[in-house]
Amino acid sequence: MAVRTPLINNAGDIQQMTSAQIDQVIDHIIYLYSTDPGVSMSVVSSGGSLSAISDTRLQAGAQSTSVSSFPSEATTAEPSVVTVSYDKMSSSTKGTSLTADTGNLYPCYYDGSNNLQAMSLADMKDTFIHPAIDLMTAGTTTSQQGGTYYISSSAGAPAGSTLVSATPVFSNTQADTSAYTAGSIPEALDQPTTLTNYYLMRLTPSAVTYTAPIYLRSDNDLQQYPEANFNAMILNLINYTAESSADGYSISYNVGTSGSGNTRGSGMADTRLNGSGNYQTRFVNADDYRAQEFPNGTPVTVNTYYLRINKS
Amino acid sequence: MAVKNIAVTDTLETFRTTFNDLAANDFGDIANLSGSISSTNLVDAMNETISIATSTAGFTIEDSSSTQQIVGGGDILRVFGTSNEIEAVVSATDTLTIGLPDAVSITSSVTAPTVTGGSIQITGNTITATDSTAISFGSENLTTTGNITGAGITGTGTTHTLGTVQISGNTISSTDSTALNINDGLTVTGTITGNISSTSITSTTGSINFGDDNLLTTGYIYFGQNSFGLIFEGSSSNAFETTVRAADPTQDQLILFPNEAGTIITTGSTDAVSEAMMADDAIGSAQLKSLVTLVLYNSSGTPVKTIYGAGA
Repeated sequence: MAVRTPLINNAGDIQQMTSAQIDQVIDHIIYLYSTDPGVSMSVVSSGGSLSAISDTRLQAGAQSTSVSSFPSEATTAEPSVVTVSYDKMSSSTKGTSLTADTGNLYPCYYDGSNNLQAMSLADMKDTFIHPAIDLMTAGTTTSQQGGTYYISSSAGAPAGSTLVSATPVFSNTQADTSAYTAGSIPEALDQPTTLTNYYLMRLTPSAVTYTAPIYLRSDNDLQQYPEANFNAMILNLINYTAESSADGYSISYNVGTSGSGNTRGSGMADTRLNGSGNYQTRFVNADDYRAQEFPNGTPVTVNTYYLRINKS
Repeated sequence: MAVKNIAVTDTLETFRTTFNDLAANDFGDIANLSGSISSTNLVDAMNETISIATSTAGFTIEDSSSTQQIVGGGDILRVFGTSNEIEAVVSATDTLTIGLPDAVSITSSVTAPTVTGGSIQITGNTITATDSTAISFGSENLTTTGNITGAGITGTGTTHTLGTVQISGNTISSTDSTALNINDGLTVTGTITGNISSTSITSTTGSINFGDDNLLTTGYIYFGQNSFGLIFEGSSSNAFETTVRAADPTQDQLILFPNEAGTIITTGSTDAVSEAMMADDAIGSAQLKSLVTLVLYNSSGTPVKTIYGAGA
């Protein structure tokens, strides 16, 4: 239950890892996690497990008519707010079971007597897993957050990221004021335009170089981990910890204007025109006088939603 | 025989010649007087003869056993030989010849300084040939309970046997054994081929030189007490040799040379023991200098392996 310094095979000699080499292993763990994250997110059409967030916009008020004169502004319906709920983000876990340690699953380190001992699960977490999750759950979106998700206002995935779905997880819309014309009264009430779409991205960094530590084989000989063995062991451990550990390092996502954890990517702003209504009239004939209030005003941010990553 | 008369007037010469004639022809040669007559002058002889002739009727004969036989007047003295021993021959006038037959058989022995038969001459204890340098026994066997001594013994047959030792051609063998025992040393100036079976081979020079030949045995080569052993001169003939010997054993020991090519390592060797010479699972921790250990623990802190190494 301590941070250990694992051992490596240095050209036939047993040597402690440097801190840089340990960091490389941590980066490798993050990379492995990014290839098969234990806590994954997806975009669904509706009913996602994450909280719903709302996009609001103004729509025109209903028209008013008269056979004799234009209805007054006071009697004409005011623009109203249209709310669209987005519950498209869902999170799930793989259900990873922790591989049991029979005494030699994890790398070796020098103990206080300069003998060699296999690391325990707690050692592994303290040395590798928790530092990796600390990085992965940071608020940044670099390669060291591989396998985690963020919100981008662009569907184009930058290097080191992968678009999870072309379906936006949130769209900020507002009334298309240009679509409303007096000559077309009665205009359709809701004529929105999308200002910004927000997409879910996953960080998928490239592989990093690292030096695999040595471990005790089943015959109690020492050997540098075969890559497949090391990857399987470490991926199982990071996924299990991220998914279901009770040590404060399980990963979860939430979305909202507030929440636990670090925000990821762009805030999804719900903007809306703040006008009180653009009163317009239309004379059709002597017996048909029409009036309608169109959305107007300047956009203001009603809410800003953030995707957050949390360890708990 | 006429009367010899010397006149007064005769000369001295006449006297001499008459006297000589008288002595020679009338008196006779005293040398021719019978051995039986002991007298030394004519008168005495005549008297002795008269005495013999007139004193008895015959004479007495006696042999070596003092057996006597009287031969009277008118008796016949018969003289016989013994077959193959002696023969008597009577011949004119009044002659008895005693001799040996051509084939003589002697019952007991013949004693003489020298006995010659044919060309074989026996003198003392020496048998020689008078007409040759060799004595031939024909096809007869020569048997003696004593010794045969000679400057050279040459056989013309193919096989010669002395006791149970048989010489055939250039082969010496035993007729009653598979081994030929030589109780004394054996010096050979030539080459010994075939098999040599001996409990002891020594040299008068202090070493036995086998030349370029191999020394083969399916048994053992024993080195006696003290500081004996194998000595290798090496490629340089000088005052330096390498000796291989055993420390005094206190029990039977076996040092086995493995079935492999290589160089023997000694306590004087430096940097000579290679990895390939170490048997698997052969070196214990006790053989390591300034022993240090590296204990491998599993993640539960249970030691699972201890690695031993040599310290500084």
